[in-house]
Amino acid sequence: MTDIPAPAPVEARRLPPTSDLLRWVFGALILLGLGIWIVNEAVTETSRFAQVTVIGLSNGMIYALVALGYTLVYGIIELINFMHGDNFMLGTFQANSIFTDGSFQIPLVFGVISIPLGAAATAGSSWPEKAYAIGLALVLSMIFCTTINVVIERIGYKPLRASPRLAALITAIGFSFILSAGVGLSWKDAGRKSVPNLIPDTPLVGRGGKWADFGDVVYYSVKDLMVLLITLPVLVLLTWLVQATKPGKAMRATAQDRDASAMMGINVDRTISFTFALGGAIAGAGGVIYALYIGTTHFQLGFRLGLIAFTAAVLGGIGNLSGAVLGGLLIGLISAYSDGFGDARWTYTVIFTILILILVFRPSGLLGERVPEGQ
Amino acid sequence: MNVKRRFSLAGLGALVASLAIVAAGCGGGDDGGTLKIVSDLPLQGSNLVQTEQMVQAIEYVLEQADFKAGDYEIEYESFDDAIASTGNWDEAKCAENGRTYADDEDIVAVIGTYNSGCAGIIIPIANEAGLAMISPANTAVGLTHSGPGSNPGEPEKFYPAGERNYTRVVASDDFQGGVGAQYMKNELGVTKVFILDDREQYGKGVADAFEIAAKEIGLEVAGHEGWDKDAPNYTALMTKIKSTGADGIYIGGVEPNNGGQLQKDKVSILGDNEQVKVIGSDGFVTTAWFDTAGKENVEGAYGTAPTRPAEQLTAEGQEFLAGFKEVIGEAPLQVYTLYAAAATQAILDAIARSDGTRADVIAKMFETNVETVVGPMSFNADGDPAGGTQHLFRALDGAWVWQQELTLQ
Repeated sequence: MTDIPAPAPVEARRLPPTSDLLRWVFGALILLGLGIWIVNEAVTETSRFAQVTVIGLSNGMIYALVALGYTLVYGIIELINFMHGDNFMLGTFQANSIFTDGSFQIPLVFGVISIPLGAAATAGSSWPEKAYAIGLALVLSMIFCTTINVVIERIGYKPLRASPRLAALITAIGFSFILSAGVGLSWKDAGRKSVPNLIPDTPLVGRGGKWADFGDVVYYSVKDLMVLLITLPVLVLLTWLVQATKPGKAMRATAQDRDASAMMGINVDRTISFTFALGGAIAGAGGVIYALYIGTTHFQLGFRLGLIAFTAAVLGGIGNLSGAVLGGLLIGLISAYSDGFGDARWTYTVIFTILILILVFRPSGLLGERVPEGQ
Repeated sequence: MNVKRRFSLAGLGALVASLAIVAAGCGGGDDGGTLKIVSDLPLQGSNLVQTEQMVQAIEYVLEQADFKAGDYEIEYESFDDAIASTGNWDEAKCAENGRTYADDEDIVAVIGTYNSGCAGIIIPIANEAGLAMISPANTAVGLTHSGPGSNPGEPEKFYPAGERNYTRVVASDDFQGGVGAQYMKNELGVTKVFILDDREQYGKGVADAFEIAAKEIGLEVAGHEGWDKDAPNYTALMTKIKSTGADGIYIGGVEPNNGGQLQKDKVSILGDNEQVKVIGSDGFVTTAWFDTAGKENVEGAYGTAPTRPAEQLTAEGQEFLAGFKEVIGEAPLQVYTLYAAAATQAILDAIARSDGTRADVIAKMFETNVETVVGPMSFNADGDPAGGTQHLFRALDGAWVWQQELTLQ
């Protein structure tokens, strides 16, 4: 047999169309303008800039925690799991129940089953009491949200796995409403619920800070540290789980090619359930952190937070764990800069302008998508 | 859906029962026939603390009057203009309610609304139907007259038929914003103020009125922004306020729009209410704010309201309150409760003097001159209460304590 030589690759040498050029120039100008604005503020108002940056990073970590849940599920079955934000909201409600009523509560349509645990705590409680309440809240809220996620996956998403993707999407939107207006509203009514200030605002850096006292330059409290100390290990643990463990390998294989992984002996159904369980656990833990850090919760919280977190996931590259965190931090920073230097009225316009620009230049997000292939 | 129907059935049942009692009590009723009045309030979420008491006050006044106004038997029904999914008033619900009132020939007057935004929707519908409206709580300027805080085209756009049909028993926000600015500069010694509003008609209106008044009296305005009620927190916004060097904050809006979180973040970034003074509009003079913000964060904050507190009432008001306490039990009296009673008294008085037609009820309502639980009540041609005053409250140990009466200088 004679080898047939491969044809020489044809090199494309034409210029990009004018519309592309215009888009690039226009986008670059806006990004440049925003960059100059931020740098200018950083130079002229250093202490406010530092403070706003710290606030942005802490808020961004909360967004990142929610974004991780969206990105995990999207990465494996390409479903925008709209109910994730609402499941997160139920996590904050569970934290509210445990901290204020001292009981684990199971909301059912006809009433609430309340299991007293004696875990009620206030800002004045002793450290062992607080640690008991927070530990219990973390564990129980994770179990609670995991159960919700897994049950909904079984009854709502699994039967639709072979259906057009839109059907599952509509189901996800439906569950989002059921969880917020159905479960959340009947559980805690429409008022905003306050969560006791269990983690003190004690400054670590700032005026009277325990670590460093720079005066009013920057303020970093125990609360901010808590968010950092919980979010980072969660990310590391998740990355390790997905990269280095057997279930993680099964997840990645299922994400790449569901049929092939089934042929290789991977239990696809169980792997997808496992992913949802993981997403639920993150929602539960995130809900408790949100309740402790922000201090107020509301049954409609999930919608806006979910939208922001989903945006963060897309910004970083959906399906990509580090991308979700990067996206969350970026959105936290952008909204803090807009609130802290611009006008709070324009914050969402600024966030989404930047999102559109980034997607124009990098349609698959900052760190690139990781989604199932060939689907 | 089911729940809703059960509620309205229960309401209907209660109505039929109360009418039956009235009918039995008077042995058949008088010559004037039966007329119907309705109330239109947001009966969901954290509004309920206030609005449920308003409904109770209306019912109490009616019971005291034996469900009669002059020769007429009075039927009453309470309507809800809020939706459960937000816990707040809803534009579509308000419009739907307005059309229901307009179409029901028996209805001669509407006691409502609570929120000015909702009033802006119902007034024009009622106006075209020639139906009287009396609000126990609306304070937006533009509903009755143009002035600081009113929008272009107001109030004419609310009255498409040309004739007025709307009165209110509380003074409007231009007075409230004005006295707030005066008090902040003259009594609290604030030199630079930052103004926040919740971006709604009422909140922005009262904040705009404050800003205009502040500039007039030489109180420096460091900035005026609207807060996003769905934001998780406001620490970045508060950091900016701190950098402006403002020593006072004016908050125009209602507490359910995340007012608790706003005040928590204010205290955590700017310090307590002695360091940076806070005056809130009457939407914040509620006990709910102590729960959502924590009473230690509200401690020392001021609030203005066009409403007279219980301890400052006339003899007639005290008498009403003594009886009404039995209805509400231990629950603390909310600020607009007495005004719901006063609005009911005023409209019953107008109906009693009228010939029972919608047009005449409106005419007599504008000629009102009656002693109510909050004092003498009469209206000017715009429908505003004559001689409306403002009151200053201060948050002390988890309660709003009346300080003084304020008048615009």
